[in-house]
Amino acid sequence: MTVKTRDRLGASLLLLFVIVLWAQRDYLTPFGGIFPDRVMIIMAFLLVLDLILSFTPYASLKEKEEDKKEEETHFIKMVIVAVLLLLWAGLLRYFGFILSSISAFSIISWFLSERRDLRHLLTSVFVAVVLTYSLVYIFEHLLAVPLPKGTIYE
Amino acid sequence: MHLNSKLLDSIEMLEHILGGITNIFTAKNLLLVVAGTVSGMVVGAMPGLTAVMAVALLVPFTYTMDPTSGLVTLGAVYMGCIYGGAFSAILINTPGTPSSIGTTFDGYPMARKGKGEEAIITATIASAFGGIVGVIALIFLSPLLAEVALKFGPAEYFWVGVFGLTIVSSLVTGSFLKGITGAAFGVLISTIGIAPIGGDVRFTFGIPSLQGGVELIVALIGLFCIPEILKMVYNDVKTQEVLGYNKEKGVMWKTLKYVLSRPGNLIRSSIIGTVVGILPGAGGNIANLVAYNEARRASKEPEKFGTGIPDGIVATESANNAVVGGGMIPLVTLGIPGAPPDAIIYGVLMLQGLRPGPELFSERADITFTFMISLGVAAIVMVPVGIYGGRLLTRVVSIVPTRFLVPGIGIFTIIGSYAIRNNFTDVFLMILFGIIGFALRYLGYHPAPIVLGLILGPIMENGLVQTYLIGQKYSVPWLALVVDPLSWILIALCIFSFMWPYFGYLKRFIKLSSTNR
Repeated sequence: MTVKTRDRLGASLLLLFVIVLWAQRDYLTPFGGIFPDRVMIIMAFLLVLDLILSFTPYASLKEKEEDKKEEETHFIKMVIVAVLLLLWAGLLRYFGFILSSISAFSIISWFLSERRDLRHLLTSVFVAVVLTYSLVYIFEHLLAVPLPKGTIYE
Repeated sequence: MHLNSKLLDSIEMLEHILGGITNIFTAKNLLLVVAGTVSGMVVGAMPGLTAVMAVALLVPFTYTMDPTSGLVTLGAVYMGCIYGGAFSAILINTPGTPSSIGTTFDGYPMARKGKGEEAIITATIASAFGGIVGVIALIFLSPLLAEVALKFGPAEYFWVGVFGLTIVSSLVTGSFLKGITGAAFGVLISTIGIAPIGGDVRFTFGIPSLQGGVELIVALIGLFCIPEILKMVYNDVKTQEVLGYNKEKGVMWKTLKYVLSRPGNLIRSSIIGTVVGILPGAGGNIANLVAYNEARRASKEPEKFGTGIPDGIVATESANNAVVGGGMIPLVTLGIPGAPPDAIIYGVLMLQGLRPGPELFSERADITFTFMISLGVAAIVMVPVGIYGGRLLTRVVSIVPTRFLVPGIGIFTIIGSYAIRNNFTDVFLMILFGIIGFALRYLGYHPAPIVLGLILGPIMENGLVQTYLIGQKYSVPWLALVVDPLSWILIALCIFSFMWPYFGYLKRFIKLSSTNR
């Protein structure tokens, strides 16, 4: 993605965020909006300015300066890991810390392995079990920090 | 009379310092300092893991500790992590933390020449020296700044917030416009929940758990840790080969003598680190490069820099560890984090019910001084741990593959975000913040202004609304923002930091025009 496209995409997304927040304004007192309203106006102004600048020769200048060699990247792999992290958070409530962490850790670790074979799956599960139980012991027994138990066991 | 009060203040401060020393030299606190320093070094030595990540990942361990123990542990983690970054910079040519980028310039060439041990010892002495200088500045400058802060009213706090946001946008990011927009984004996120004055429920999208606002630590863990692990996957980070080094007889004393024979470099770099640390948002990543550049400029043999000389390591390592103490100065006095890891420590202070400001130097002075002195003790502890355990540590951490590192960090972020309020929404929010943080970073928005916006948002809102209420006596209430001379100074600082990047643009524009001609 070029610098210009990034600038435009970033500014547009943040502008959308400001618009959504602006639509949510529902103050009961005159004080609630004093600060956020002004911040939203300033932010919208800055984003529009950024958008305008991305269409000027200044953006091309920046493009030249930041013209770096593209490195090999793994976008799909990253999206899958992000989704797995969200799933991990979702499963936490139902399956508790132990089961969800062992499953999510093993899957992510196996997914990121160079070779997705049985040996790598077994080592992933082994590390996941050891780490999860060690953390449960440290947090629940030594530090008295409660971890989620899971609603399916109730 | 005035002299007497000054004398009494000095005696009181001496009492606090002695109290802090007594508190830190207990078995429990010393053990926490050692454990924190080692843990910090472990994370710091792992390429790609930053100091802010180290502090964020180890936060949950302190939830049930008393405030002193929690702060002592995190302070030691921070100090150890900044130092730990030097190991991978020297032995792998990859900075463990961004604070050690400059250390690779001379550290790795030294290791390649077979002087790895000398490089490590140089980094250790410089780090300990820089760390102690930063802590001395913290102990003696913070009470003075706290006294100034006593004179601040709501308008001044508002302007302090504006100053923090403009300076972080100028210093940290490549684009001021993007920096200040990111800061505004952070400020807006901070307004979610119940308004501090008036009690309006704002921007909760009907989600009841958002009424209490976004928990700062949750947002910080998400913004600082998740983008790093996503980046590891995105760039497919591989483990790297570690250069070995042989034990050399007498190298310790030889190196010590060499480093101490050039006090100018040590002192200058430590002062640079402390000053850069004081600037909001600017951390060791900036300090080490500035110090390296200054050391090269001041050297009689600048051409030798980059070929593997100890002076380069001395500059970068003393500067980055001095940032630890320097960055705490605005944090404990004004509630403005000097460096990104300070933002996490700010969150922990708030979690423990400690509000940064003058109160920390009066009612809570025992905790504050113990914490400050513990940072100095951590800097000393780094010396034996680094020299005798460093090689083993680097070997161990450098073999941890990304496939274990990514879910391993994930598990800590989940514990850290869940355990604050035992709330599942917080875990979701943390990951969501992480994904947003990664996307924004990809689109050119640096996380430091966003985080500072999150922290300074409530301070600015309180300041602005209270000033507005005070200003009702004027025909134009907003005049109250500019009537105090202290406000004028802060406004001048804001204008200066706002204009700062444009001086650079102007210089570049003139240069470009002359080349085009």
